[in-house]
Amino acid sequence: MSTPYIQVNGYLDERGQFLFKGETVFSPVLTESVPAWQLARALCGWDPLSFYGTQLRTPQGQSDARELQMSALDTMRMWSNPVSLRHLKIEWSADLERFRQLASALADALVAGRIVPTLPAPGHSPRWRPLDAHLFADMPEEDKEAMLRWLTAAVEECLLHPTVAPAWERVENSIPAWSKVDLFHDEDDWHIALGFREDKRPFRVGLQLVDPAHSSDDWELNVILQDKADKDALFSWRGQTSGSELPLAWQSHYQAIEREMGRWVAMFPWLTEGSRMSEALSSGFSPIRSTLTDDEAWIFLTDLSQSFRDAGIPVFVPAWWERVREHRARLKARFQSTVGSAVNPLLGLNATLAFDWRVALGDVELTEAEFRQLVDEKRRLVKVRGEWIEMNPTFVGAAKKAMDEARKRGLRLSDVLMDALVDSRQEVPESEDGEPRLAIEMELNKHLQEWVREVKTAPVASEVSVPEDFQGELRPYQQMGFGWLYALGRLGLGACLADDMGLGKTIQCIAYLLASKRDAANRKESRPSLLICPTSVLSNWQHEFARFAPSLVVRLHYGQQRSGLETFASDLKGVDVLITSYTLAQMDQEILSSVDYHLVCLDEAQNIKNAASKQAEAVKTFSSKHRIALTGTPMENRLTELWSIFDFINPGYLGTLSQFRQQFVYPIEKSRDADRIATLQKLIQPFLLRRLKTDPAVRLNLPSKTEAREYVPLTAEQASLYEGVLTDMLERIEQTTPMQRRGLILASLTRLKQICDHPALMLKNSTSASWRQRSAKLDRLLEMIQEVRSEGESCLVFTQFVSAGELILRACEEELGERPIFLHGGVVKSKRDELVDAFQNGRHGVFVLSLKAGGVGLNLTAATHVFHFDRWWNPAVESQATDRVYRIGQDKPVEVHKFVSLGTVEERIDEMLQNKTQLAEQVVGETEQWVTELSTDELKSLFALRRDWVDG
Amino acid sequence: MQTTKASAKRKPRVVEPTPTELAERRIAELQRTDNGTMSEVWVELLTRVSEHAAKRLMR
Repeated sequence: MSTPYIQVNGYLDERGQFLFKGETVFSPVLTESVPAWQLARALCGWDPLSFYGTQLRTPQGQSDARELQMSALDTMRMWSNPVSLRHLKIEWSADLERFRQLASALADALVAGRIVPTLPAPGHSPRWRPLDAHLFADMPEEDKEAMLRWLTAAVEECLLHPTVAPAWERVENSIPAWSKVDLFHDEDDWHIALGFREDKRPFRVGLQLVDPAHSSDDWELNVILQDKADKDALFSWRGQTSGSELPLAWQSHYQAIEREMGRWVAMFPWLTEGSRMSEALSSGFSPIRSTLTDDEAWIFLTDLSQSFRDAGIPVFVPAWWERVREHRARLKARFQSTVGSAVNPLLGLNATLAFDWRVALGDVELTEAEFRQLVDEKRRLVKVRGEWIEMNPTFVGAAKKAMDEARKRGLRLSDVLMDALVDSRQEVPESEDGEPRLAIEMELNKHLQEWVREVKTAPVASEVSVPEDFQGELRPYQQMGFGWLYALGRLGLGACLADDMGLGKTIQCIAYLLASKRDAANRKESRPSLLICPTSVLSNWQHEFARFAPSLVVRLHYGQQRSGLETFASDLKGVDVLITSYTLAQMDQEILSSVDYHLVCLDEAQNIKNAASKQAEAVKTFSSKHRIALTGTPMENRLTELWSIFDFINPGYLGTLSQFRQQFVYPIEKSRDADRIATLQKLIQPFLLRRLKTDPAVRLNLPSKTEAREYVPLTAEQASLYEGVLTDMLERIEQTTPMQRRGLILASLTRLKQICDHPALMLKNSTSASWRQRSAKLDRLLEMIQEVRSEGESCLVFTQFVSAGELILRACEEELGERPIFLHGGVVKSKRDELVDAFQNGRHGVFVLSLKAGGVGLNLTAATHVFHFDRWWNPAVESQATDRVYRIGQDKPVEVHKFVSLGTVEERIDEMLQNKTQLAEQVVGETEQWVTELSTDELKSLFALRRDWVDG
Repeated sequence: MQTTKASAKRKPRVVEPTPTELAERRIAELQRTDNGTMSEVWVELLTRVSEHAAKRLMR
C-alpha cells in the first residue's frame, strides 16, 4: 500500500482570496475529506506569521468547515517559502500548480518593487502586473487574468497596511490621472501622465489659448509644441506642413503628435468640428479647431483647462488669467461726509453719511455707472482700459445687493468705526437670507479719518485739565479715565468705565461732571445730568459729590417728597446732577423722561444686564447727549449682559440682540471661537475702559489681601436633613417640566445651603439651649469673631440668608456679649447710612450684611476681616463684596475667610470655582457655572453628601 | 561562562541594514535600471510596498 498523501484542490475568487479543500488519499479508492482547521495546520504548520496555521479562517467561520481561505499574500508566502511543505506529501490540483509555479517570481517582483499599474478597460479600476513581461509570456489569456488578479490582490493588501497607506493616499490625492483612466487610451501615455515613466519625447504637446485684441472678437486656439530643453521655445503645430519651422530631430515624432491629437479629440470631441478630424489627418493639417467664442473661451479657462491637465495635456493660457483669477473684486464706499468730525460733534454713531460707490476689479476701478453698464453686457470677461477683468456673477450679484441694502439703510458712523476697528477683509457674517454678504470697504476722507483716530486714541488723549473746583486729587490712571470719558463725551459716544471695585470710578465720573458743567457754562447751556444707582448707594453718591465737587448742585429724586410730573422740570432749574434709584427710574419713567439731560449715567450698570427687564428698557428711554455706564463687573455670566450695557451707551452699535447672538454669543459661548472673541474685543475696546487692581500701571500700593478657606464638618443632624432634601429632589426631578426642574433645583440648593449654615434655618427651631452646637460652622464663626475682636479689629460677615444673619446676631449677643449691626434689603436708606457711619467710625465692630444688599457700593474700610458664611455661585459677586473692605482707603492687610462645609455641595462648588476658566475671563474677566443646566447625574455628583466628613 | 561572555564582547559588531534601508536600496536599483525618473510619490510608495511585502513574504 502506498503512503497516504493530501490532495488539495482550490481556486482564486473574485476578491483575490484563495479557497482550498483537501482530502487524504489512502489509495485510489479510499479518500477522506480533511477539515479546514486540519488543512490549515498541515499547510502552515511551519508558518509563524499565521501562528502556525491557527489564525487562518474558513469562509463561514465554522469549526467543521471543509474550505480554507487564505489571502493573496499568505498564499504567496506559503508557496514561495523554501522551508514550507518540505516534509509533507501534498498533491496540488493542476490549476493550483500553475499558480504555485509562479509564486516565487511574483514574490520577487513584489519585494523588488518591479510592478506596474495596468490601464484597465473603461469603467474598471487599474490593476498591477509584473514589470518583467516574460513571466506571463506563454500563458493562456485566462491564466494571465488570474495571475493579474492574484498580484493585484497582493499589492492591495500591502496598500492597506498602516505603514504603506499614507504613501498610497499621497499618490491618490496628487495624481488625478490615477482615477481618470477613461481619459487615456494608451498605457504609455497614462504612465507618463501618472509620473510612473519618463516622457522620452524632446517636446511636450499642448494647447494654447490666445486672447483677442478686442473683447468682442473670437479667441484663438493653437496646438503648441514646447521644447523641453528650453521651456520658452514654443512652436505652433499646423499639421505636418509646419514641419519646416520645427527642429529636425523632432521629425521622427510627427506621428506621435498626430496620435496625441487623436487622443484629445476622442476625449473632447468638441475640439474638432464635424468631419474635420479625418480630413485634417489625411491632409496633414491640425484637426483641432482654431477659434473659440467668448463663452467657449470662458469655459476653457475655468473648467476644461483643468480636465486637460488631468489628462496630462499641457495648457497655455494668457498670462493675465492667473492674475485675474487671484484678483479679489472689491466694493468700496468713498465718503465725502464731514459728519462726525470735530467740527460737527455729538451726533452719535447712528448718524448716516454721504458716499459714492467704487467697484475695484483687479487694477481697474469703476464708478457705479460704469459697473452697471458692464453688468448689462452680461459678459464674463471684458477688456476695460486695456485690462481684462472678470465679471464674476456671484460678486456682481452680491455687489448689487450690498449697494441696494446700503442705499436703503444708509451707511452710518458705526459702520465706519467698525470697519476701522475690525479687519474688513475678514469673513463677513451671512445676511438674513443665508447668502454670503459682501464686505464693503470704507475709504474715509480726512474728516472721518481724524474722527476715527480720535475715537481710537481717546484713552490716551487725556490732556484735558481737571476742573479747578474739584476738591481732591486724581491718581494718574484716574486722570486718564476722566480724560477718556471727556474725549468720548465730546464725540457724543457712550462709555463704559469698568474699573475694578475700589479704583475710584465715582470720582472719575464726578470730575467729568464738573468738566461738563464748565464746558456748558462756556457754551451758555444748562442741562442737568441724571445719575441712576442702586438704592443702597444713593447716600454714598451724595457724600462723594459733597466731598469732591461741592460746587455741583445735586438733588435726590427719592422718597415720598420727590417731584411729580407737573413740578419736575421747574424743580430741576439750577440743578446739575439729579440722583435716583433703578427702581424709581422705572416707576417714574414718565416724569424722568420729561427732560433732556446732558448725561445719563448708570452706576452699578450690571443692573441692566437683562436687556428685556423693565428697568433696562426704562433707562434706555431717557434722552441725553451722552451716556455712561459704571460697573465693576461688565459681564457676570453671559455675553448678552455686555450687549445690554452697550445697547444703553451706544444703541445699535453691536447690532440687534439677535444679530449679536448669531455673530458672537453662539460662536463664543459654544465653541470659544477665538477669532470672534478677538473681533468682539476690538469692537468694544474704544468704549470700555477696564483697569484691574493688579495692573502694574495702576500702582495702587494696596496692603496685602489673603484668602483662606475655613472647612467645617456637618453635624449628624445636618447630615440627615441634607440627605432628606437631596433624596426628595432626586425623586421629584424626573417628573418635572424643564421650567419646574430649574425651580426645584434652585429651591433644593437653597435648602442645602441653609442646612449647611444651621439646621434651624430649615426647621425654624432655634429655641433649645444647645442650638449653637448644632452647626460647626456657626460655632467656628463665633470663635473667629471673638479672636478678631480681642485683637481690637473689626469684621464683616456676609450671608445670603436674612435668617442666617439674624441667627449670627443672636449668637454673637449671647456668646460674645456684643450685638452686631445688620444690613439687609429691608433696611431703609437713612438707616443704612447710619449703620455704615457707625461701623466706619468704630462704634460697632461686627457688621453682618446680606450679600445682595451689602455687596455693592459701600465703603467699609474700617474692617480688616471679611467672613463669607455661605458660598455664592459667582465668584465675582463674592469678590465684589470683599471689595467693600479691600479698596482705596484701606491701609491695613485684609483677611478673607470663606466657610466651606466639608463633603457637601459647598465644597464641590468651591472646587468648581477654583478650577474655572470660562468665557467671561476671555472677554472681560468674570466667570460662572450654571447648576440648573446640569444633567441629573451631574447634579447627583455635585450635591451628594460624602459622609466621611460628617461630625459624630 | 566568563570566557564566553568575554569572547562575545570582542566580536566585531556587524550593522545589519534595516528593512526600510533594504527597501530603499531595492527601489533605487530599480530606478537605475528600468523606470528612469519615476516621480517622488511613486518611489516612496514602491519603497513602502517593498518593505512591507518583504516582511509578509518572509524575504
